[in-house]
Amino acid sequence: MKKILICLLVISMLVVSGCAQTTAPTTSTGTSSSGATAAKTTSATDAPKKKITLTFGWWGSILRNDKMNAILDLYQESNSHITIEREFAAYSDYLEKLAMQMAGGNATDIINSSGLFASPYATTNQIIPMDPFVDSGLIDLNDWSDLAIETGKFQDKLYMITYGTGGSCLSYNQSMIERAGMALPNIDWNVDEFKDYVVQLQSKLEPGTYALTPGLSNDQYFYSWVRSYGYEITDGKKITAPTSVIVDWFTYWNDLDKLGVLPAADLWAQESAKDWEESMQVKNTACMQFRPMNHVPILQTYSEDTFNVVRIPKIPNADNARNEYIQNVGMCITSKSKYPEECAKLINFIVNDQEAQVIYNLDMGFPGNKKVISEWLVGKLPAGFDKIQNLNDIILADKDVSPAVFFPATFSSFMPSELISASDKVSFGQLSPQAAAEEFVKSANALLS
Amino acid sequence: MLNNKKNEIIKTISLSILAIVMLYPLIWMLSSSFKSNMDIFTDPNLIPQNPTLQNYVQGWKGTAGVGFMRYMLNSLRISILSILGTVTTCYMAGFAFARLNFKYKKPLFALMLFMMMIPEHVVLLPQYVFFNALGWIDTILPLVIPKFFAVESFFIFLFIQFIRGIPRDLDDAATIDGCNKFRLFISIIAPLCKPAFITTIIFTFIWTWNDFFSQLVYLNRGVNMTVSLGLRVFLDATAQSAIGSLFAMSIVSIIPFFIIFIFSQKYLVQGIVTSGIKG
Amino acid sequence: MRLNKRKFTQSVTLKKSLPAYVFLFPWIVGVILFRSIPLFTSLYYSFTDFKLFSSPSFIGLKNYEFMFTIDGHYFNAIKATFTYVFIGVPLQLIWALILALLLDKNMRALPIFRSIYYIPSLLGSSVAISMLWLQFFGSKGMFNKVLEFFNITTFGQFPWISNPNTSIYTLVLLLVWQFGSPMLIFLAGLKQIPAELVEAAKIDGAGRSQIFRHVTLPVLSPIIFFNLIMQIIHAFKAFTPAYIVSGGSGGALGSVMFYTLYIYKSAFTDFRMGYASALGWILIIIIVVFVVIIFKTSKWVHYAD
Repeated sequence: MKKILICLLVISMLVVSGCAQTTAPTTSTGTSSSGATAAKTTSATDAPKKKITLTFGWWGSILRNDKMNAILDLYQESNSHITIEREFAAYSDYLEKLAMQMAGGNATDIINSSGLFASPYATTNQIIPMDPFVDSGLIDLNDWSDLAIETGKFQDKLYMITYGTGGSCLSYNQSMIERAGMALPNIDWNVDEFKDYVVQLQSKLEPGTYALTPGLSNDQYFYSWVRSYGYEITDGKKITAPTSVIVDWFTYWNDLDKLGVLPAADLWAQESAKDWEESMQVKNTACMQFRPMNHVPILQTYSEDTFNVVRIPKIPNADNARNEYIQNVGMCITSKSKYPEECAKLINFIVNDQEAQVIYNLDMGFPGNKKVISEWLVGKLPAGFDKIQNLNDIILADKDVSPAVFFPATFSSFMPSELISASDKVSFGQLSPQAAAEEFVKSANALLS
Repeated sequence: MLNNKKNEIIKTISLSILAIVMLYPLIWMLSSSFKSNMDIFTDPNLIPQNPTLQNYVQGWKGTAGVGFMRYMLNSLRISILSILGTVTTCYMAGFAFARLNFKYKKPLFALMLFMMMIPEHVVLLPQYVFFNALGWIDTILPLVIPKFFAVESFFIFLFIQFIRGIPRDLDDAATIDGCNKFRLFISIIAPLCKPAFITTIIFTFIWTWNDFFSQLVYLNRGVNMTVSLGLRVFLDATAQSAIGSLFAMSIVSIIPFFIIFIFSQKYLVQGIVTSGIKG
Repeated sequence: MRLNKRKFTQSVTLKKSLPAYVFLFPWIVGVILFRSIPLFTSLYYSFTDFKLFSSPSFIGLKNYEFMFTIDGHYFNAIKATFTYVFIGVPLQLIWALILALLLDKNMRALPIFRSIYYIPSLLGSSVAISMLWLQFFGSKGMFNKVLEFFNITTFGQFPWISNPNTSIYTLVLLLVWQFGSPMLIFLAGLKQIPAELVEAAKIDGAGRSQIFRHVTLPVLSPIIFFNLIMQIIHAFKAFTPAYIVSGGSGGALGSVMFYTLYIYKSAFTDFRMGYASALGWILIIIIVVFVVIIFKTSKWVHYAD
């Protein structure tokens, strides 16, 4: 027994001391190579600036992590007095952890956020408006599209600088449709024409293959649906969309389900855990799916089939309107940050530096800086990007589409889970569309109040 | 004699079959770790048709400039410190409850049991705020320091149960020999508790190694991430993921355990009888 | 007079208690610092409308009222957790005991088996489990292929992992599959059975089942009791299996929305810290009630002292 304890003690001391030694240099510079270059540049400049450490957090996969890491290293190389400490996690981990860090007041200087969940942080002043930095020129938005700027605004103040935006769309496996001998989807469809099309497509597909995947819990499409009727889903205090619009939504999906064009609810439920390689569209077991546009190029990398996109169908009884909710992802500066100007400079670098944007390569959809696509990435666009770009241009040219807003709920993040809960009850046949819509409104209102 | 041998063979075979059934998911994972991401779901063979080490190479490289080795070292450091803390303080408390009489023993015992029942999630935020005030966030301190205060009541309970199983005659004899409580604690009871110590060590190691929740909460920077956090990065629903690397690194991450387990289970087998209850 | 006497006895016992308190010192400090203070804070939160970023204001029992009257998800959390605890834990313990008994004999390959059977538990809560379970209990998973092999075709391509009626049982199976920890504790306990006792029983002409019932089980009873308590509490507090297998969503129709997962979601996705604290306190009460019941009915446990 004693021997084991002694062994343990010795090992632990080795590990602890060993780690302490190795930790020190790595934490201070991020990677050793950039550390070396940083040292060189410091000695070259005669008046070394005060050393500053910024913290930067994001979510993503290993691919995105590597991209972000390279961009931040790049910034450190040319700004030797800055050290950027990096925090990253998978999406849901990031979100929940961010909430905790915000509550504890120790979130990173720069956080990654989206219009979907940034408003609680803006209303409680956890993140700061960036208009002063734009005015002083630290953040240069001259080459930016109005929409991209607009998506970062909350109550007329700029809280977020967008990496990229992307609207909701109907994605489809073009090769599958061609193999079935059908015409490609039409951009001017209304919901009824769309229904006819999927029924026809379904009849030409093999058994066990579906024309469409269920989208009744797709929050982005749902918000677009509500906006097409001219409403926002909530003003932050209660659900503002009339219940009838929400009933229509569930009825629309319930009808599609009855037409037999969707996989069974339980079969679809397992999809959420699946990876891109295994998704129904890649595996040729489903043809069409409503998605955020920026997913389509990713999908394309996993299949030899051709993927394409079209706008969401019009709503016939709402003057043929369509008003896509445009999702965005961007960076915010937290109010606890000691160096907001330095944060602004870094953000400006990430979104406006050519080299950084080439590395980033449109990871989050359409960038704000118009030069990225028109000049810097000419000939380097990811496969399939041209298609969503065309669609994006069409959507933005549509007079009916108003710029996306910061999701206005005071505490917004439960909205998707309430929608999923109500949707499940419809798709598993527990509730009628009417009852599910009522339940959704009731429980969402209870949470909002 | 012959019958015995036959029995043993039958038993070995049936235990082997059972082992294969139980381990099948892991065998599948092992095989998948040598397939390309595309092949994992299309190649149904257990022996990969186009074997590749790419997943191991990629996975070991880690992400955002932080290699998997760092995750392993970080996890190891937290595990070993947790073991030291837990084994010492839980044995102390367990010994007191099992062998000593003291005032308020009953209410304190009830309190100990109650502490076992508290879900982490209830105390999470207040604890976070507390550690934050101490400036401990993004260090291993919130994960390790509490272990030196016997917060894992499970192990106190484990020690109590084990010590209560040891006949009292032994300490009575020792006490007559003029042995005080501290000698009893160190030289009489401790050696007899070997299985309990080993169990505590193994469990603390595994629990700490696998615990992703509190590590997620308290560790922030990429360089501080542990194995359980590192593995999660391979899967992300909003962007491309790397299942092959996930499987490969999951295999790598259980290797140290497995080695330690094989090494230490020998002590479990020895048990209390051979360590001199009669001697 | 009476007061004096009480004081007298108290001081004597306290003095005698001193060595014990020395041993208990770290634990007592830990209880106060790392448990009691956060616990009382969360009890206070449970009577407030604390929303994580705004300061809490007192709302009395409103959170508790909401839980039992308005909240539609609460029942899901109770149902999923109770199924997991009361079906999963007994199955896991029986399975662990059977294997511990099989492994405790003097067989040459036993050390290897012991290690092999422990491997599933080593993986614990790794994310890899979510992919493995999908691969085995998904519509095209191994489980359906096995059924097909045995000519059971009624289920076809049934998605066991995501169907709201069956998904919780795939988690029960995960719990049973990871039986390593209770098995180890059983093994450690079996080692404590004095060989003479078994020999004596054999000489008395007792058969295997009699030895098991009259020697093994009673001697093992404290260990069974320990495992039962430990695993029940563990299962009530379980979080990671549901979090990982359902990707944090709690499954279709909330079928695997474990209680702790619901607490976590309330706190950090809904930001309703006050409500989450109230949920937590009810969970503590539930656990305490069941543990007390098990303790009250523990006459079957025999201690050597």
